[in-house]
Amino acid sequence: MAEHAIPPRNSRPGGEHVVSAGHPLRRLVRRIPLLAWLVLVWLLLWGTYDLGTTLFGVLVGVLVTGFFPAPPIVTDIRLRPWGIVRLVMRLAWDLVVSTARVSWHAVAQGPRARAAIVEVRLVTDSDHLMAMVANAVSLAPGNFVLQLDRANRICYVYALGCGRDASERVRREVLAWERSVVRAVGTAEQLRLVERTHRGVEVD
Amino acid sequence: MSWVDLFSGICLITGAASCLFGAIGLLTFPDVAARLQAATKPQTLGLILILIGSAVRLEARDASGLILVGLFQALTAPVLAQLVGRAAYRAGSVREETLDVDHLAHRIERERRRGL
Amino acid sequence: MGVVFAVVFGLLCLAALLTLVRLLWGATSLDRIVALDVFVTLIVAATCVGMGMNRDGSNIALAAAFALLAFIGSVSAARLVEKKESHR
Repeated sequence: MAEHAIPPRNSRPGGEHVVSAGHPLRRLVRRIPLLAWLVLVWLLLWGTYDLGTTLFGVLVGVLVTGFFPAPPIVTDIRLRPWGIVRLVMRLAWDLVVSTARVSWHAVAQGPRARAAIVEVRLVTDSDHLMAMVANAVSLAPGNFVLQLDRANRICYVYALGCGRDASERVRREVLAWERSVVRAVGTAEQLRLVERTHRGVEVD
Repeated sequence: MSWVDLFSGICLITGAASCLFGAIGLLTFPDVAARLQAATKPQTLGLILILIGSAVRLEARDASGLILVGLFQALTAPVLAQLVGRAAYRAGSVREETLDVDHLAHRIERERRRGL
Repeated sequence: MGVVFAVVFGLLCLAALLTLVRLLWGATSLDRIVALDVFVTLIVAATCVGMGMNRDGSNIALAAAFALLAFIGSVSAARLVEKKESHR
C-alpha cells in the first residue's frame, strides 16, 4: 500500500490564541474550562451534588491538570451559543435520518450496497474546525471521513449508497456541515468566508 | 400504565429495534467500511434511546450518570469510525468493486507516479 | 410493562447473536474489532434496560466504565492493525 504521509504545516493563520502557555496565573485561568468539565464528569459519576464532593472534585481536577499537563493547544475557536444549539439539534436530527437510511440499506440492499470515496476541499483553514467538521460528517447519513489531508484542507469522505452523481451531493453536504460548524464556533472572518462560498455555490 | 411508562416503553423498543437493525447491517454489508456505518449510527441512536427510556424510570441522581454514558458514546463513535475506516482502507479491506467513485485511490496513484 | 421489557431484551439478544456471528466469522481482524465494539455497546444497553426495569441505578458506574473501556480497547486494537499493515 502506498504511503501518503501528510506533510507538516509550517504557517499558522492569524487570529489564534495559545492555551496553557505564558504566565502561570494566566495559564491557570485558561485551564478553567477543562477543570469545569472534569468536575462535571466527577459529579455525574458520583451522582451526589453537594459542596464536599464539588470541592474534592476541584482538588482532584487541579492535581490531575497539574501533574499531567496537556500539551499547548493553539485554537481560534469563538463560541456562539445560538449556533451551538442549532448545530446540536442538527446533529441529533441527522443521527435519526442516518439510522433510518443505514437500516434501510442493510435490509433492502445488504451485500449489494454501493459506495463512493469523494474528495472535498474545505473552505476554512483551521485544525479544530476541520476536526469538528470531520466528526459531524461522520454522523451524517451514510457518510464518514476516511482520511484527512490537513495541509491541503481536503477530506476524503466515504459515502454509502449513492450512484455516480455522488461526488457533487457529498461535496454539498460536507460544505453545509462546515457552514453549521463555523456558525457555532468560527471567527467572524471564517464566517464571512463560508457565507461567501455558500452564496457562490447557490449561484452556480 | 402511566404516561411515563408509555414514553419509556416507546423509547426502549425503538432503541432496541435500532440496535437490531445495526446488527443486521453488520452481518449483511459487503465490506468493513459499510459495516462500520451499521455499527456506529444505529447503535449510537439505539443506545441513546435506551438510555432515555431507562432514565425516565430512575431517580434524578441516578439518571445523570446515564447522560454521561450517552455522551461518551456520541463522542467516541465517529472517532472509532474514522480510525477503523482508515485502517481498513490502508489494509485494502475496502472492496473496490463496491465503489462507484474513489478519489483517494486516484490521489495515491498520482503520488506514486510522481515518486517514481 | 413486563411485556415491553421482554420484547426489548429479546430484540437486544437477537442483535447480540447476529453480532456474535460477525465476531466469529470475521473475515478480517477489523471486522472483529467493530463487532466486539458493537457487542460491548449492546451489553451497556442491556445493563441500562436492566436498571430501568428494577428502578435501581447502582450499576451506572459499570455502564460508564464499559462504554469508555470499549472505546479505548477498540482504538488501540485498530491502531495496532494499522501499524502491522503499514509494516508489511
